[in-house]
Amino acid sequence: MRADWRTVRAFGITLVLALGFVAGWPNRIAKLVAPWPKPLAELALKLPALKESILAPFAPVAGRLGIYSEDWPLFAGTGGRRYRLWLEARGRGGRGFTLLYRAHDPDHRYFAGALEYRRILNIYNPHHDWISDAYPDFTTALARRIFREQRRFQEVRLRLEEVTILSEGRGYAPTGRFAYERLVRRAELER
Amino acid sequence: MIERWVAFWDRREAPHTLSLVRILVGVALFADLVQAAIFDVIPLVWGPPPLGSGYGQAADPAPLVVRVLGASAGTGTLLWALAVVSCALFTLGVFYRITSWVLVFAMVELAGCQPVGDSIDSLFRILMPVLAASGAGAVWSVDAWFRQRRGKPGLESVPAWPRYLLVVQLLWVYVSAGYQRDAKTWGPRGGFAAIGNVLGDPHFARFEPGSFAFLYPFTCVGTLLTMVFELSAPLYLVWLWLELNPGRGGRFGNVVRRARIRWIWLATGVALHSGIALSMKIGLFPFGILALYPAFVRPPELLAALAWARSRLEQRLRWRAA
Repeated sequence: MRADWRTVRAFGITLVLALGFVAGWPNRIAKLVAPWPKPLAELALKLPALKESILAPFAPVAGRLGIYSEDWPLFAGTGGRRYRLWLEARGRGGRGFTLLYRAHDPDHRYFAGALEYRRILNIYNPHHDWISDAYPDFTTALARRIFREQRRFQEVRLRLEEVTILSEGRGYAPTGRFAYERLVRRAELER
Repeated sequence: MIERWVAFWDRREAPHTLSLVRILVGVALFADLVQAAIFDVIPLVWGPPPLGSGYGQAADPAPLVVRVLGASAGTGTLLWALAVVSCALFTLGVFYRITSWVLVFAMVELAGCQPVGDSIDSLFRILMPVLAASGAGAVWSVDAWFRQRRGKPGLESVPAWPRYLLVVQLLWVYVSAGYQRDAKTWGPRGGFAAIGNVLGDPHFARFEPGSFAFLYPFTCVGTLLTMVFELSAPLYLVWLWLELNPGRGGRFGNVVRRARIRWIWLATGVALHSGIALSMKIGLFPFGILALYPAFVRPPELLAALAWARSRLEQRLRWRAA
C-alpha cells in the first residue's frame, strides 16, 4: 500500500513538473524567435498552439488555483518609453485643473501612499502598449472617492505622461505627450 | 531507475527549512495585505465597479465567495480579512493544515476579484498549495508548542519534496526571466543599461531618478551580473550535486567545492533582490522571493548555522557578564 502511494505521488509530481515546463514556454515567442533562421522560427511558432492543446485538459484545475502560466518575463525590457501618472481635479468654475498627485513630485502627493502601493500601481502602470483592464473602473472609483472627500471638485482627470528614459542613468525627460486619459465628472456619478 | 525516482520524491528531512520559509513568506504576505488597510484601498482594489476596480466580482463566472455572498465592497473586504487572519495563523503555525489551505483559498478568491496583479502574486498562488501540503508547520509553530505541552513527540522529519519543488520553481523563474530579457538593454549591444534605466523609471524608482547617475557604471555591472546569475540558475543543481558528493566531479568538482560556488550564487541572488528592495518601489516582489530563499538551504546546513549563531551569542553574553 505504502509503495503504491509513493509511486502515485512521484507520478503526480512528475506530471506537475512536465506541465509546468510546458506552461513555461514563452508567450512572447514571436518576438524571441524573430532573429532566428526562418525554418527554425516557423517550427518554434507552432509551440503556442501545441502548448494550449497539451494544457487544455488541466486548465480547469489550474484555473481553480489561480494558476495560468509558468512564463516569467520579468523586467524583459527597460528604458525607452515609460509613463508618469498625473492625477488632477477641477472645480465648478471650469478653470484649469489642480494637480493633486504626480509621480516623483514632492509638491503633489495627494493619496500618494495608496497610489504607490503595488496593487494600485499595477492597475495604472502601462505595460508597453497596454494598460490593465481594471484601469477604467479604477479611475471611476478613485474619482468617486475624491468627490466624496473634496466637495469643491466637479471633475477628476487621470492621465499618463509619456517620458523618455535618458541614457547613462540620468533619469527621464518628460515628452509633454499624454496617454490613457480618463475624465470623470461628478454629475455622471450622481446621475 | 523508476524506483530511484520514486525514492527521491519520498525522501524526508528535518522540518526547519520549510518552517522558516513558512514564517518568512507569511510575514511578507501579511505586511503586503495590511498595507491595503493602512492606505485605505481595500474597496478600491477588491470592491466591484463602480465602487472599486475589482472587475472580477462582476465577471462570469464570478469567484466562489461572490457567488455565495453577492458582489459588494463588503465581500471584497471580507475576503481581505479572511486572507489577513489566515495569513497570521499560517505564519504562527496555528492549525496549520487547515489555515494554510484557507489562505490558499483566500488568495485565489482575492485574485478572482481583482485579476490584476504582479508576478509575485502568481508565484505565491503556485507555491502556497505546495507549502500547505508540506510539513512547514512541524516546528517553530503554535501547533508544535501545543504538541510539546501535551507531551507528544515533535516531528523529526517531514517529506522533502515540497522544498525540492520550491527550489525548482525558483530556478525556473530565473531561467524564464533571463532568456526573455531584451538584448538591447540587458546585453552588450545596449551597454548593459537595463538597471540604470529602471532606476530612472518614475513609477518604480525609490529615489529621485537621475540622482545616482554617478553610480551608472556599477548599475551596468549589476545588469551583467543579473544576467549571469539568472541564466546560470540551472547550474545550481550541479553545484549542489557536487557539494553533496565530495568525491565526484574530479578537479572541476574540487574547484567548485573549494570556491563555494553554490554559496556565491545564492549570495548574488540575495544581493540582487536586496538591491531591488532598496532602490525600487515594487512592494512585495523582492521580499517575497527572499522569503523563499531558505528553501535553497538544506536543513542540516540551517541547523548548523543556527547552532553556530547561538554559540556566538552565548559567548558574547558570557563576555558581557564577565
